[in-house]
Amino acid sequence: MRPAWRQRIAGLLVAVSVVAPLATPAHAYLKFGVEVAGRIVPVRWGAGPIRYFVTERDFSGISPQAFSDAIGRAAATWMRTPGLPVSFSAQGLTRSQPLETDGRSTIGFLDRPDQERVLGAASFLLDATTGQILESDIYFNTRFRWSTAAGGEAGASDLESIALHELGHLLGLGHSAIGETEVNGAGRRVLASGSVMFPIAMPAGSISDRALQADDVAGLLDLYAAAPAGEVGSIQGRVTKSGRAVYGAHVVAFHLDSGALVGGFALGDDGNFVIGGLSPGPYILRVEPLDDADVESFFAPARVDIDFGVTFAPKVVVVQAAGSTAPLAIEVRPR
Amino acid sequence: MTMPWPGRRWAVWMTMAGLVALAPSAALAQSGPALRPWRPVFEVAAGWTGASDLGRVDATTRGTSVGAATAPAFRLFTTESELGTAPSAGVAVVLPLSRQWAVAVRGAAARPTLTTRISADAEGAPSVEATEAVSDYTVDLSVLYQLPRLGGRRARPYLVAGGGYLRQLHEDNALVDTGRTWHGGAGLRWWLRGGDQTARAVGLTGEVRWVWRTGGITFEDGARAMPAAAVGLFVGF
Repeated sequence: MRPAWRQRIAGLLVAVSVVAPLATPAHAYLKFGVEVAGRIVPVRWGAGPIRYFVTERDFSGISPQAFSDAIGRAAATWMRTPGLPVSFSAQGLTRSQPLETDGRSTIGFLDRPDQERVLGAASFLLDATTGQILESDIYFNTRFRWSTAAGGEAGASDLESIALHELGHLLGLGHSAIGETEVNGAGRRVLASGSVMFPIAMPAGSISDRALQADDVAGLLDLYAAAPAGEVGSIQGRVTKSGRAVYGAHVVAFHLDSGALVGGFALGDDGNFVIGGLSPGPYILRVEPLDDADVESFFAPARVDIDFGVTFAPKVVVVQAAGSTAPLAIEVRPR
Repeated sequence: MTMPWPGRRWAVWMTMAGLVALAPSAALAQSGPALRPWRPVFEVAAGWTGASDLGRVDATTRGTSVGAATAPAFRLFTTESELGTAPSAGVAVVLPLSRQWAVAVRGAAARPTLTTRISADAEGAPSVEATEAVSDYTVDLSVLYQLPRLGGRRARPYLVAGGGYLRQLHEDNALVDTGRTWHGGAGLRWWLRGGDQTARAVGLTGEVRWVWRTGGITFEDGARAMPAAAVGLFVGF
């Protein structure tokens, strides 16, 4: 039991294929990938509106209308990202429940006593021939107290903040690792996060995660290739330790001009990484072990190396629009 | 000392005003070698540009808060950047308007190193430096005022002030940043031959400047200042 640690995990219900992190280097973010005709393609929606329903069920004093409004605000926040080929379209109330495979994307409360640390989760139904999302449901666990109050409510999780996170999953984003935590009893307490998609929620009562951060926007732009041509670029490189590839290293790019932080992972067999969706400019690269949340929050932990110290790249890396940097080698410090 | 931007601009104007104020008395003392009005002088110079502070930027993430839309910032690490000292090369064309006054167009290039010191990491990473090479180009227009000769017969000091265009390219020409530059300073022109209104002039120059820059590669608002110096060879026609 970890009462102070409430984790959000993206559940995956897949019709005909196995969803896994991309086996090729991840771009700017952890995206989901699925194998189609022998190659890994990103899991995302096709162009057009994403139609969703909200359940009629009220809970914790939150009416269906207040619930729907909170979901709508979170959806609108994602859609303020310019240039996206997708949009959200609210279809009204439904008696269906989340996680029912019915071709409808349903968002609502669900009682999940088996998920006592999980605030909410998203599921997917995919087209195995294209990798496109056909349906994605989101549930909010009634094991927790929820609030839609404008200024938040002490002791209650902010529905709009958690909805923003889960809608990120619904759009196809995985978890971000830009965040700092400390061990708190048997769990972890979040100290700070640089992304709405960080897997551990802010404390109950907080409403600060109602706004996206640079990492979230970069991930979405990269996933949907939505940035206007010539406006973003990428950083590529390789992480090694004592000359050997490091799998699962978290690489964070810090934009010296804007202060934006955007993360990616070294997921290639040779320690390769690519961070896309970056605004042009000079960057500092920080490589850290994936030790601020359960590794399972991101991908299968078997191969992930967390036995090294935080290391900075020795070069200022300059990203140019519509281009990728020359491959950068980063040798991390063994602990 | 860091002077806020309005103060720096004021300093530039004060330098210009100083040049003008000096003009009448200096003109009365005029004698010895001088530039020939409307006869161009060409210069090549090698120099040195001082370091400039490009600013401090903290990498921050959203800290925890309850009931507040704006969470306190959590500092992940700190960066302090500097454009280092570098040798420079330049060419200039000086057009004398009179024996005292001249205008000059000058182009210069340098290749300083941008160094970012990274420290105060939240997870205790040791402080390190990240670097990149920068290509630095300036084109500026100056007003020169030739002062009376010094003790020697062949040397005359001058004052200089002006402004221009700054173009900086990140390593491998990956990105261009542009800005403005202003300067004020003083120099010495030493005639090896000529300067007497009849013969072609050849000589040496030495100049020190205080340079203010805005824009270009920088990570904070406002102007930054640096010293610069150059020595060169001039040929007058």
